[in-house]
Amino acid sequence: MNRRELLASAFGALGAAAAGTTLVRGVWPLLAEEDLVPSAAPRLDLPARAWTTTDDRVAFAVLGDNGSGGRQAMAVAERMAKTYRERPFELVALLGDICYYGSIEDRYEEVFRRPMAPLIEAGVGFELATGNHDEELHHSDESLAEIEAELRLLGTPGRYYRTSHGPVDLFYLDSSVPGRFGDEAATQLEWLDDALATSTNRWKVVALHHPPFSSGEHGSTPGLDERLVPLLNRHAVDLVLAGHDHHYERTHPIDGVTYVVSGGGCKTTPVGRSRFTARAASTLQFLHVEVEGDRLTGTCIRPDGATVDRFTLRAREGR
Amino acid sequence: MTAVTPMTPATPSTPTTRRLRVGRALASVYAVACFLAVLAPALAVRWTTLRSGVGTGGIAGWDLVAASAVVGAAHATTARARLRCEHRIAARGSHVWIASLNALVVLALSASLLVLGVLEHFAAEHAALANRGLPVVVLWAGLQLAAVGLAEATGRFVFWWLEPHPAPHRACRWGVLPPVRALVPLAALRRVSPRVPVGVGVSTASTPTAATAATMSAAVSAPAPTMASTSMASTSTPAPTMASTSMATSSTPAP
Repeated sequence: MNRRELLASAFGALGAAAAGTTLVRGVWPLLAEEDLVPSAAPRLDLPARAWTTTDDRVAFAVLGDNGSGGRQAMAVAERMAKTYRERPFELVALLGDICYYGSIEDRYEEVFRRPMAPLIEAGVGFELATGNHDEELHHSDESLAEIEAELRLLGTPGRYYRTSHGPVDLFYLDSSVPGRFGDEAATQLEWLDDALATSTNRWKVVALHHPPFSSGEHGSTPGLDERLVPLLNRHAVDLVLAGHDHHYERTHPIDGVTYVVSGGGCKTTPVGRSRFTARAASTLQFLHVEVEGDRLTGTCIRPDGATVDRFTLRAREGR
Repeated sequence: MTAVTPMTPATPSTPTTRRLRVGRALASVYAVACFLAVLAPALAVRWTTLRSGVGTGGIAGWDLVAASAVVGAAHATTARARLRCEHRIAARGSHVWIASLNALVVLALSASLLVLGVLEHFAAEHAALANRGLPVVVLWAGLQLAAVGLAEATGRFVFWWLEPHPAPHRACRWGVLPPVRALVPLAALRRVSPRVPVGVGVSTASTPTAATAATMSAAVSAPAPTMASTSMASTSTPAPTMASTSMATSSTPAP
């Protein structure tokens, strides 16, 4: 074997080994996990303001981690629009990570306006709990600008805030590192404590990006069980909605609080089962929540229309 | 006009025949590997959509699989033909497989990485294109064609690099577009002294003269037909194809 043959053979053999490892462990799983293939937006005409909200009745949708603007995000958005046609809802609670692969200023049309166009045109409202991809540098000047842009574009009042819809009070938190552990953590938790204490509605729902309990790739968020969970228990919160992990998971009630991870807005990652898991699935999905009187019914819906999970909560005694 | 001796099949019992048979079998295996390397990224995307509940209709992703299958099948056909050709004319059989391994590595990496990189880093541009009605399948197929081009260039270059220099004149069923000659500079072709290959069970141009070299020059500079069609012609009609090609090109006067 001459020098050239040796070199070319070595390059080929090493290249084959490297390529095999790279493709099998990195590239193909990444292609499978990410939602990179663009797609045309869903085109549906929906009846405007078709929902009915009263003092004891409201419906809303919950969507997490939907910021790709790709085919899968469009498929979920299309299913949401179709669901609206059958069971109208007045609000979409976004659980963060509404923009991947770039800045929200550049990609607002692709990741939000285009997929959600039918719902936006029908007058549905959107409320956001910011996610870690919406603030990749953890409250650097750049990420703060990104968050500000998102909040401004979506008309969201602040990084943590409260809204009321019919019989439901929704509390949106900033679960990023400063908001959780840093200088702002104490302020935010004090605010939440006050807000929950003064809430008089029958249902209390907390929405944040990082899940207190999860059996997925990221898992339960460290620190939340010590800082946030006791507060939620003390004020008898009914439902906690989170994203971050790209799957669906519902826990058994933990001290009376049900925790749901609804992060399958455009990507999927594997999910296991933990002692607290009632139902888990690695799937694209969104959650449709219907409140009527003393019952709250959640339905996890896949893009093909199949129901992944359906659960009912009863209002707490005295509410 | 250059006299061309038609290629004759080797006797079934000779070692050369066995070598050719093994070469053909390995070329077919290689073609399947090329096809799968091109198809893999589309299958990864498709598998996710199926698993995650997007459904089977509409945007479910069959279009990407179909596009990859077409590109992969076309490349598998040309790669197989190229390998069989190279296997027959190579100074050493190992040169063919070393070059092919390098080409396959480049194909597997580029077919997936090009798609991943371009889609991720130009997401906004592609989304805008998709919204204007340009089907994403065109982009996908274009990226995979680029990967195929890279792999073909790699395979041909490595094979040429491994072969003895200056490149001897060796006949090939590919006729006007032998893979080795495609990368050899025209000037080098004019300088070489053609010789008959050793250890190959087919005969070649019987009179290695200056006129033959001129024929090669003309063949290289002439517009080449598509590789797939050349390959199919060469496998079904061995001798007449090459003879007629050579005759057509040899009408050019020798310098």
